[in-house]
Amino acid sequence: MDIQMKRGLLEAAVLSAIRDADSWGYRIIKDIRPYVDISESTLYPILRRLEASGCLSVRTEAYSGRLRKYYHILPAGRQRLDAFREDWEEVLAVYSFITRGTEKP
Amino acid sequence: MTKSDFLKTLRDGLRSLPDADAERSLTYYIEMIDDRMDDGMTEEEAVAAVGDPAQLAREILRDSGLSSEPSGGAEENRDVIFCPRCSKAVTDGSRFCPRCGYSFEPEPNTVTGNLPEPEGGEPIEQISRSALEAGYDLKWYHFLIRFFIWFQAGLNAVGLIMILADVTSGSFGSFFSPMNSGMRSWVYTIVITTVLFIVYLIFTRRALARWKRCAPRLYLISLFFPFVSRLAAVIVSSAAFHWFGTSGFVPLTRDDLGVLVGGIVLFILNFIYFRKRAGLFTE
Repeated sequence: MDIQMKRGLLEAAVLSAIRDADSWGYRIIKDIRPYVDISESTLYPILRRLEASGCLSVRTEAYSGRLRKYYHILPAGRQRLDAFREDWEEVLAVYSFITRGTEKP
Repeated sequence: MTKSDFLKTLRDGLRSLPDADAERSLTYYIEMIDDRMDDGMTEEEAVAAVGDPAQLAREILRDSGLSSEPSGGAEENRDVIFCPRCSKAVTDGSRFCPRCGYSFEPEPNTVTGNLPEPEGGEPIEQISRSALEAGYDLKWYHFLIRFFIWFQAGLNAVGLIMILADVTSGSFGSFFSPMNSGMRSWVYTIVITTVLFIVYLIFTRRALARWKRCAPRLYLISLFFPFVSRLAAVIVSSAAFHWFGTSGFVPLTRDDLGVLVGGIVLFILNFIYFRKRAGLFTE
């Protein structure tokens, strides 16, 4: 898959993983991995970018005797997800045009 | 490999990062290993699953170096070279070190260390042009900063020429009223203005090299700099003046105070503005 496209998809996937409830690094990876291949080192810069652009916030909480970072989606992150969905509705429309009449048997 | 071996190697690999950034990466990977162990893996398995720490360190360095470039895929495999001046890891092909602004290209005029005399906008023009050629696209805030740097350079050049003209013609004090009592004060003013301007040039050069991340800070400092340098020149030269007994102490005029207060207000307004829009500058 194209790198830029994958990057965009992963950002949306991460935002979507924390959309309904706050989550933490490893859980985000486990949630996303069945759909897109993501590793710790890929997730790290994405989280940093999303935090820096105000899409999510981070808080540190104690969990079983150690600290764990929880990621919380912010309004800008929800807007980004909405924008993502709108973009992809357009992409799908173009896709159906491009592939019309060429369905694989 | 044990968790502590992993962390040691990772920490070693991140030496060239600022402490806070390195610490943040370490915390992130510690948490990942701990979470995997809570998930039932052994320490050995958890460490292996997270990856090779040396490779991870290279990726982290690459991402932090790339963050100032508009379009470098994080997954692209680029080689890393080390800055000969500050030894920061930099992606090969970069034209400037993102930390110290060292130029990797043999352009004698743009290498720092021998900054030319601050008259005119010449050195700044070279700096910003090189930074732009290095692949940074011109956005509105780039334009704003560029404009301000030119404006600032023009102001400084005019100020210096006025001072020099005054000194050489011997007719002191027609331009700067608080310091019209003799040759010595002019010399101080010239020295102070020159030193401050050189400091400003060095900062600008470094900041331009990492354009994006520094843009708001650079803008704030450019905004504040004329007020600070002017007041510093007035205060220090009049104090020096007083010290050497040539005349009485020259107090700040109401104009100077107005400039100071105005400068602080501008600075605070812009600071608040940029704080709220930090996201604009990191994408």
